[in-house]
Amino acid sequence: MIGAHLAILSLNLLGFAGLAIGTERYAPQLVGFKPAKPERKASWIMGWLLLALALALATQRMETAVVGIVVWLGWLSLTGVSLVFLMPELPWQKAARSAPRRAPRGKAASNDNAPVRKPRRWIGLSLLAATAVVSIASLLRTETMPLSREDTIEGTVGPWSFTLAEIDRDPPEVMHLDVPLKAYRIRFCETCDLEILRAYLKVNKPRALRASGMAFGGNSWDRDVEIQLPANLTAESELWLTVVGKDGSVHRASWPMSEVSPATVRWFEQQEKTR
Amino acid sequence: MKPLRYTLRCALAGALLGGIAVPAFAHEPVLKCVLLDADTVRCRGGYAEGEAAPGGTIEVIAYSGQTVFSGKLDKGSILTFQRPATGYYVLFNEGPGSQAIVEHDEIGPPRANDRARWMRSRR
Repeated sequence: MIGAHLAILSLNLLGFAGLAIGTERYAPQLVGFKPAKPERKASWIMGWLLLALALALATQRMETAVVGIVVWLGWLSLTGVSLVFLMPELPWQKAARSAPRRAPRGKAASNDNAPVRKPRRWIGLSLLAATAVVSIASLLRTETMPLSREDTIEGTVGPWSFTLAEIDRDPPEVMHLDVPLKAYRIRFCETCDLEILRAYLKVNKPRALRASGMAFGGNSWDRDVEIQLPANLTAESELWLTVVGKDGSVHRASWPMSEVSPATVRWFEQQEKTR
Repeated sequence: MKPLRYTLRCALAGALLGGIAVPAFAHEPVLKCVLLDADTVRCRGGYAEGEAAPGGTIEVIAYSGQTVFSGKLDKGSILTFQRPATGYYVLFNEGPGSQAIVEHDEIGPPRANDRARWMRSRR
Protein backbone atom coordinates (compact mmCIF):
# COMPACT_ATOMS: atom_id res chain seq x y z
CA MET A 1 0.00 0.00 0.00
CA ILE A 2 2.80 2.42 0.91
CA GLY A 3 4.55 1.46 -2.33
CA ALA A 4 1.46 2.52 -4.29
CA HIS A 5 1.35 5.87 -2.46
CA LEU A 6 5.02 6.49 -3.20
CA ALA A 7 4.51 5.58 -6.86
CA ILE A 8 1.55 7.99 -7.15
CA LEU A 9 3.57 10.74 -5.44
CA SER A 10 6.61 10.34 -7.68
CA LEU A 11 4.54 10.05 -10.88
CA ASN A 12 2.69 13.25 -9.90
CA LEU A 13 6.00 15.00 -9.18
CA LEU A 14 7.45 13.96 -12.54
CA GLY A 15 4.18 14.92 -14.28
CA PHE A 16 4.21 18.42 -12.78
CA ALA A 17 7.89 18.81 -13.61
CA GLY A 18 7.07 17.83 -17.20
CA LEU A 19 4.31 20.46 -17.34
CA ALA A 20 6.67 23.11 -15.93
CA ILE A 21 9.41 22.29 -18.44
CA GLY A 22 6.73 22.55 -21.12
CA THR A 23 6.27 26.28 -20.42
CA GLU A 24 8.53 29.06 -21.64
CA ARG A 25 8.46 30.77 -18.25
CA TYR A 26 9.21 27.95 -15.79
CA ALA A 27 11.51 25.75 -17.88
CA PRO A 28 14.59 27.97 -17.22
CA GLN A 29 13.78 28.05 -13.51
CA LEU A 30 13.55 24.27 -13.29
CA VAL A 31 16.33 23.05 -15.59
CA GLY A 32 18.47 26.15 -15.93
CA PHE A 33 18.01 26.69 -19.66
CA LYS A 34 15.20 27.15 -22.16
CA PRO A 35 14.56 23.98 -24.24
CA ALA A 36 13.55 24.26 -27.89
CA LYS A 37 9.85 24.46 -28.70
CA PRO A 38 9.31 20.82 -29.86
CA GLU A 39 11.14 19.59 -26.75
CA ARG A 40 8.94 21.73 -24.55
CA LYS A 41 5.83 20.39 -26.24
CA ALA A 42 7.02 16.80 -25.85
CA SER A 43 7.73 17.40 -22.18
CA TRP A 44 4.31 19.01 -21.72
CA ILE A 45 2.55 15.98 -23.27
CA MET A 46 4.72 13.66 -21.18
CA GLY A 47 3.71 15.57 -18.04
CA TRP A 48 0.01 15.08 -18.73
CA LEU A 49 0.55 11.40 -19.53
CA LEU A 50 2.40 10.86 -16.24
CA LEU A 51 -0.41 12.57 -14.28
CA ALA A 52 -2.95 10.35 -16.07
CA LEU A 53 -0.82 7.30 -15.30
CA ALA A 54 -0.75 8.26 -11.63
CA LEU A 55 -4.55 8.60 -11.67
CA ALA A 56 -4.95 5.21 -13.34
CA LEU A 57 -2.61 3.63 -10.79
CA ALA A 58 -4.51 5.24 -7.91
CA THR A 59 -7.93 4.05 -9.12
CA GLN A 60 -6.60 0.52 -9.61
CA ARG A 61 -4.60 0.09 -6.42
CA MET A 62 -6.73 1.85 -3.80
CA GLU A 63 -9.76 0.25 -2.08
CA THR A 64 -12.19 1.68 -4.61
CA ALA A 65 -11.85 3.97 -7.62
CA VAL A 66 -13.30 6.89 -5.64
CA VAL A 67 -10.76 6.50 -2.85
CA GLY A 68 -8.11 6.36 -5.60
CA ILE A 69 -9.25 9.70 -7.05
CA VAL A 70 -9.21 11.35 -3.62
CA VAL A 71 -5.74 9.97 -2.87
CA TRP A 72 -4.51 11.17 -6.28
CA LEU A 73 -5.91 14.68 -5.72
CA GLY A 74 -4.32 14.73 -2.26
CA TRP A 75 -0.88 13.82 -3.55
CA LEU A 76 -1.40 16.25 -6.46
CA SER A 77 -1.88 19.13 -4.01
CA LEU A 78 1.12 18.12 -1.92
CA THR A 79 3.28 17.81 -5.03
CA GLY A 80 2.17 21.19 -6.34
CA VAL A 81 2.91 22.94 -3.04
CA SER A 82 6.26 21.21 -2.62
CA LEU A 83 7.30 22.23 -6.17
CA VAL A 84 6.39 25.84 -5.36
CA PHE A 85 8.75 25.78 -2.39
CA LEU A 86 11.35 23.55 -4.02
CA MET A 87 11.92 25.51 -7.23
CA PRO A 88 13.43 28.64 -5.60
CA GLU A 89 15.85 26.40 -3.67
CA LEU A 90 17.40 24.84 -6.76
CA PRO A 91 21.16 25.64 -6.94
CA TRP A 92 20.93 27.55 -10.22
CA GLN A 93 18.33 29.84 -8.65
CA LYS A 94 20.70 31.04 -5.91
CA ALA A 95 22.24 33.71 -8.10
CA ALA A 96 18.86 35.21 -8.85
CA ARG A 97 17.84 35.06 -5.20
CA SER A 98 20.89 36.84 -3.81
CA ALA A 99 20.12 39.95 -5.84
CA PRO A 100 17.74 42.30 -4.00
CA ARG A 101 14.27 42.21 -5.46
CA ARG A 102 13.74 45.95 -5.04
CA ALA A 103 16.04 48.86 -4.47
CA PRO A 104 16.14 49.74 -0.74
CA ARG A 105 13.76 52.57 0.05
CA GLY A 106 15.43 54.01 3.08
CA LYS A 107 14.14 53.86 6.62
CA ALA A 108 10.52 52.95 5.86
CA ALA A 109 11.62 49.65 4.32
CA SER A 110 13.39 48.45 7.48
CA ASN A 111 10.03 47.55 8.99
CA ASP A 112 9.59 44.71 6.49
CA ASN A 113 12.83 43.10 7.59
CA ALA A 114 11.79 42.83 11.24
CA PRO A 115 12.06 39.16 12.32
CA VAL A 116 8.84 37.19 12.62
CA ARG A 117 7.73 37.10 16.25
CA LYS A 118 8.71 33.88 17.98
CA PRO A 119 5.32 32.65 19.32
CA ARG A 120 3.78 32.94 15.88
CA ARG A 121 6.58 30.94 14.38
CA TRP A 122 6.14 28.21 17.01
CA ILE A 123 2.41 27.99 16.33
CA GLY A 124 3.15 27.61 12.64
CA LEU A 125 5.77 24.94 13.20
CA SER A 126 3.59 22.91 15.57
CA LEU A 127 0.66 23.05 13.13
CA LEU A 128 2.99 21.77 10.41
CA ALA A 129 4.25 18.97 12.66
CA ALA A 130 0.70 18.05 13.68
CA THR A 131 -0.31 17.78 10.01
CA ALA A 132 2.62 15.48 9.31
CA VAL A 133 1.83 13.27 12.33
CA VAL A 134 -1.85 12.98 11.39
CA SER A 135 -1.09 12.09 7.77
CA ILE A 136 1.49 9.46 8.73
CA ALA A 137 -0.89 7.95 11.31
CA SER A 138 -3.73 7.70 8.78
CA LEU A 139 -1.35 6.26 6.19
CA LEU A 140 -0.35 3.50 8.63
CA ARG A 141 -3.99 2.80 9.44
CA THR A 142 -5.05 2.18 5.83
CA GLU A 143 -6.08 -1.44 5.46
CA THR A 144 -4.79 -3.52 2.60
CA MET A 145 -7.40 -4.50 0.03
CA PRO A 146 -9.58 -7.32 1.44
CA LEU A 147 -8.67 -9.87 -1.21
CA SER A 148 -4.92 -9.21 -0.85
CA ARG A 149 -4.94 -9.99 2.89
CA GLU A 150 -3.52 -13.24 4.23
CA ASP A 151 -6.84 -14.34 5.79
CA THR A 152 -8.68 -14.75 2.47
CA ILE A 153 -10.30 -18.06 1.59
CA GLU A 154 -9.32 -19.57 -1.73
CA GLY A 155 -11.31 -22.46 -3.10
CA THR A 156 -13.38 -23.83 -5.89
CA VAL A 157 -17.13 -24.13 -6.18
CA GLY A 158 -18.12 -26.52 -8.95
CA PRO A 159 -15.73 -25.79 -11.84
CA TRP A 160 -14.98 -22.23 -10.70
CA SER A 161 -12.15 -20.99 -8.50
CA PHE A 162 -12.54 -17.91 -6.32
CA THR A 163 -11.14 -15.81 -3.48
CA LEU A 164 -13.46 -14.74 -0.66
CA ALA A 165 -12.92 -12.46 2.33
CA GLU A 166 -14.83 -10.22 4.69
CA ILE A 167 -14.39 -6.60 3.63
CA ASP A 168 -13.19 -5.56 7.08
CA ARG A 169 -12.06 -7.73 9.96
CA ASP A 170 -14.09 -5.76 12.51
CA PRO A 171 -17.14 -6.97 14.45
CA PRO A 172 -20.44 -6.67 12.54
CA GLU A 173 -22.15 -3.34 12.06
CA VAL A 174 -25.39 -3.04 14.03
CA MET A 175 -27.97 -1.40 11.77
CA HIS A 176 -31.73 -0.76 11.68
CA LEU A 177 -33.81 -2.87 14.14
CA ASP A 178 -30.51 -3.80 15.89
CA VAL A 179 -29.77 -6.27 13.11
CA PRO A 180 -26.02 -7.02 12.73
CA LEU A 181 -24.70 -6.93 9.15
CA LYS A 182 -21.42 -8.03 7.65
CA ALA A 183 -19.95 -7.29 4.22
CA TYR A 184 -18.01 -9.77 2.08
CA ARG A 185 -16.13 -9.60 -1.20
CA ILE A 186 -15.56 -12.34 -3.76
CA ARG A 187 -13.52 -12.54 -6.94
CA PHE A 188 -13.84 -15.40 -9.39
CA CYS A 189 -11.10 -16.36 -11.86
CA GLU A 190 -11.40 -14.30 -15.04
CA THR A 191 -12.72 -17.07 -17.27
CA CYS A 192 -15.02 -18.33 -14.45
CA ASP A 193 -16.52 -14.87 -13.99
CA LEU A 194 -17.95 -14.89 -17.52
CA GLU A 195 -19.68 -18.23 -16.92
CA ILE A 196 -21.37 -17.16 -13.68
CA LEU A 197 -24.88 -15.74 -13.64
CA ARG A 198 -25.16 -14.93 -9.96
CA ALA A 199 -23.59 -15.71 -6.60
CA TYR A 200 -25.43 -15.60 -3.28
CA LEU A 201 -24.26 -15.61 0.33
CA LYS A 202 -26.00 -16.38 3.61
CA VAL A 203 -25.30 -17.75 7.07
CA ASN A 204 -26.85 -21.23 7.63
CA LYS A 205 -27.54 -23.68 4.84
CA PRO A 206 -30.09 -22.40 2.30
CA ARG A 207 -33.31 -24.38 2.55
CA ALA A 208 -34.37 -23.59 -1.04
CA LEU A 209 -32.65 -22.16 -4.11
CA ARG A 210 -34.80 -19.06 -3.96
CA ALA A 211 -33.81 -18.58 -0.31
CA SER A 212 -30.06 -18.60 -0.98
CA GLY A 213 -29.47 -15.18 0.55
CA MET A 214 -28.26 -11.87 -0.79
CA ALA A 215 -26.71 -11.74 -4.26
CA PHE A 216 -23.23 -10.36 -4.79
CA GLY A 217 -23.27 -7.12 -6.77
CA GLY A 218 -20.80 -4.86 -8.55
CA ASN A 219 -19.71 -4.36 -12.11
CA SER A 220 -16.01 -5.09 -11.92
CA TRP A 221 -14.26 -8.38 -11.14
CA ASP A 222 -14.75 -7.85 -7.42
CA ARG A 223 -18.30 -8.53 -6.26
CA ASP A 224 -19.54 -7.29 -2.88
CA VAL A 225 -22.43 -8.24 -0.65
CA GLU A 226 -23.69 -7.25 2.79
CA ILE A 227 -25.72 -9.85 4.67
CA GLN A 228 -27.90 -9.96 7.77
CA LEU A 229 -26.44 -12.23 10.45
CA PRO A 230 -28.73 -14.54 12.46
CA ALA A 231 -29.29 -13.56 16.10
CA ASN A 232 -28.06 -16.97 17.29
CA LEU A 233 -24.79 -17.09 15.36
CA THR A 234 -22.04 -19.25 16.91
CA ALA A 235 -18.55 -20.35 15.87
CA GLU A 236 -20.13 -23.46 14.33
CA SER A 237 -22.63 -21.52 12.19
CA GLU A 238 -21.74 -21.88 8.54
CA LEU A 239 -21.41 -19.33 5.79
CA TRP A 240 -22.92 -20.71 2.57
CA LEU A 241 -21.98 -19.61 -0.92
CA THR A 242 -24.37 -20.51 -3.75
CA VAL A 243 -23.20 -19.96 -7.32
CA VAL A 244 -25.54 -20.23 -10.30
CA GLY A 245 -23.90 -20.60 -13.70
CA LYS A 246 -25.23 -19.21 -16.96
CA ASP A 247 -25.86 -22.85 -17.96
CA GLY A 248 -28.25 -23.18 -15.00
CA SER A 249 -25.98 -25.34 -12.85
CA VAL A 250 -25.95 -24.67 -9.10
CA HIS A 251 -22.90 -25.21 -6.89
CA ARG A 252 -22.44 -24.60 -3.19
CA ALA A 253 -19.61 -24.30 -0.71
CA SER A 254 -19.53 -23.54 3.03
CA TRP A 255 -17.16 -22.64 5.86
CA PRO A 256 -17.55 -22.29 9.61
CA MET A 257 -17.95 -18.64 10.64
CA SER A 258 -14.96 -18.98 12.99
CA GLU A 259 -12.80 -19.41 9.89
CA VAL A 260 -14.20 -16.54 7.83
CA SER A 261 -15.13 -13.94 10.47
CA PRO A 262 -13.41 -14.62 13.81
CA ALA A 263 -14.04 -11.09 15.14
CA THR A 264 -17.76 -11.48 14.40
CA VAL A 265 -17.92 -14.78 16.29
CA ARG A 266 -16.18 -13.17 19.28
CA TRP A 267 -18.68 -10.28 19.15
CA PHE A 268 -21.63 -12.70 19.27
CA GLU A 269 -20.06 -14.60 22.20
CA GLN A 270 -19.67 -11.28 24.03
CA GLN A 271 -23.33 -10.39 23.31
CA GLU A 272 -24.43 -13.75 24.67
CA LYS A 273 -22.51 -13.14 27.92
CA THR A 274 -23.87 -9.63 28.55
CA ARG A 275 -27.46 -10.65 27.75
CA MET B 1 -1.53 23.38 -28.88
CA LYS B 2 -4.96 24.86 -27.97
CA PRO B 3 -7.24 22.04 -29.27
CA LEU B 4 -4.98 19.39 -27.74
CA ARG B 5 -5.11 21.12 -24.39
CA TYR B 6 -8.92 21.32 -24.64
CA THR B 7 -9.18 17.59 -25.43
CA LEU B 8 -6.96 16.72 -22.48
CA ARG B 9 -9.04 18.86 -20.15
CA CYS B 10 -12.24 17.13 -21.31
CA ALA B 11 -10.62 13.71 -20.91
CA LEU B 12 -9.53 14.57 -17.34
CA ALA B 13 -13.02 15.78 -16.40
CA GLY B 14 -14.54 12.67 -17.98
CA ALA B 15 -12.19 10.37 -16.07
CA LEU B 16 -13.08 12.09 -12.78
CA LEU B 17 -16.83 11.87 -13.36
CA GLY B 18 -16.59 8.30 -14.66
CA GLY B 19 -14.62 7.24 -11.61
CA ILE B 20 -17.20 8.69 -9.24
CA ALA B 21 -20.06 6.76 -10.89
CA VAL B 22 -19.15 3.38 -9.35
CA PRO B 23 -22.01 1.68 -7.48
CA ALA B 24 -22.28 2.09 -3.72
CA PHE B 25 -23.89 -0.53 -1.51
CA ALA B 26 -27.56 -0.94 -2.30
CA HIS B 27 -29.89 -0.81 0.67
CA GLU B 28 -30.08 -4.27 2.17
CA PRO B 29 -33.38 -5.60 3.51
CA VAL B 30 -33.34 -6.50 7.20
CA LEU B 31 -35.90 -8.50 9.16
CA LYS B 32 -36.44 -9.01 12.88
CA CYS B 33 -38.97 -11.38 14.41
CA VAL B 34 -40.09 -11.94 18.01
CA LEU B 35 -42.58 -14.17 19.79
CA LEU B 36 -45.44 -12.02 21.10
CA ASP B 37 -46.75 -15.05 22.98
CA ALA B 38 -46.41 -18.81 22.59
CA ASP B 39 -48.60 -18.88 19.46
CA THR B 40 -47.96 -15.53 17.78
CA VAL B 41 -44.97 -14.27 15.82
CA ARG B 42 -44.47 -10.64 14.89
CA CYS B 43 -41.94 -9.51 12.31
CA ARG B 44 -40.74 -6.10 11.31
CA GLY B 45 -38.97 -5.45 8.03
CA GLY B 46 -36.95 -2.51 6.78
CA TYR B 47 -33.69 -1.55 5.19
CA ALA B 48 -30.27 -1.48 6.81
CA GLU B 49 -30.01 2.33 6.68
CA GLY B 50 -33.25 2.73 8.63
CA GLU B 51 -35.91 3.11 5.93
CA ALA B 52 -39.31 1.45 6.49
CA ALA B 53 -40.61 -1.22 4.11
CA PRO B 54 -44.43 -1.00 4.05
CA GLY B 55 -45.93 -3.37 1.47
CA GLY B 56 -42.92 -5.72 1.55
CA THR B 57 -43.66 -9.39 0.87
CA ILE B 58 -43.24 -11.82 3.75
CA GLU B 59 -43.49 -15.57 3.33
CA VAL B 60 -43.46 -18.14 6.10
CA ILE B 61 -42.11 -21.39 4.69
CA ALA B 62 -42.14 -24.75 6.48
CA TYR B 63 -39.02 -26.91 6.33
CA SER B 64 -40.99 -29.22 4.06
CA GLY B 65 -40.89 -26.43 1.47
CA GLN B 66 -44.57 -25.58 1.74
CA THR B 67 -45.54 -21.91 2.15
CA VAL B 68 -47.72 -21.84 5.25
CA PHE B 69 -48.39 -18.11 5.31
CA SER B 70 -47.73 -15.12 3.11
CA GLY B 71 -48.63 -11.50 3.56
CA LYS B 72 -47.52 -7.91 3.20
CA LEU B 73 -45.98 -5.62 5.80
CA ASP B 74 -48.43 -2.98 7.07
CA LYS B 75 -47.90 0.80 7.27
CA GLY B 76 -45.58 0.34 10.22
CA SER B 77 -43.60 -2.37 8.29
CA ILE B 78 -45.00 -4.96 10.73
CA LEU B 79 -46.73 -8.30 10.16
CA THR B 80 -48.19 -10.63 12.78
CA PHE B 81 -49.00 -14.30 12.14
CA GLN B 82 -49.78 -17.60 13.83
CA ARG B 83 -46.70 -19.54 14.87
CA PRO B 84 -46.51 -22.68 12.68
CA ALA B 85 -46.37 -25.99 14.51
CA THR B 86 -43.34 -27.34 12.60
CA GLY B 87 -39.91 -25.94 11.74
CA TYR B 88 -40.12 -22.85 9.52
CA TYR B 89 -38.30 -19.77 8.29
CA VAL B 90 -39.50 -16.28 7.47
CA LEU B 91 -38.46 -14.85 4.11
CA PHE B 92 -38.63 -11.10 3.45
CA ASN B 93 -38.30 -11.15 -0.31
CA GLU B 94 -37.46 -8.02 -2.22
CA GLY B 95 -36.70 -9.71 -5.51
CA PRO B 96 -33.99 -12.01 -6.79
CA GLY B 97 -30.93 -11.82 -4.59
CA SER B 98 -32.33 -9.19 -2.25
CA GLN B 99 -33.82 -10.86 0.79
CA ALA B 100 -33.59 -11.32 4.54
CA ILE B 101 -34.21 -14.68 6.17
CA VAL B 102 -34.97 -15.44 9.81
CA GLU B 103 -35.06 -19.08 10.96
CA HIS B 104 -37.51 -20.20 13.64
CA ASP B 105 -34.76 -20.99 16.15
CA GLU B 106 -33.74 -17.30 16.12
CA ILE B 107 -37.24 -16.21 17.11
CA GLY B 108 -37.84 -15.91 20.84
CA PRO B 109 -39.59 -13.60 23.26
CA PRO B 110 -38.24 -10.01 23.25
CA ARG B 111 -34.99 -9.65 25.20
CA ALA B 112 -34.65 -7.44 28.24
CA ASN B 113 -32.96 -4.71 26.17
CA ASP B 114 -35.61 -4.84 23.41
CA ARG B 115 -37.72 -1.90 24.50
CA ALA B 116 -39.44 -1.13 21.18
CA ARG B 117 -43.21 -0.99 21.42
CA TRP B 118 -43.89 -3.17 18.36
CA MET B 119 -42.28 -6.14 20.10
CA ARG B 120 -44.43 -5.81 23.23
CA SER B 121 -47.90 -4.37 22.62
CA ARG B 122 -50.60 -6.64 21.25
CA ARG B 123 -52.35 -3.63 19.69
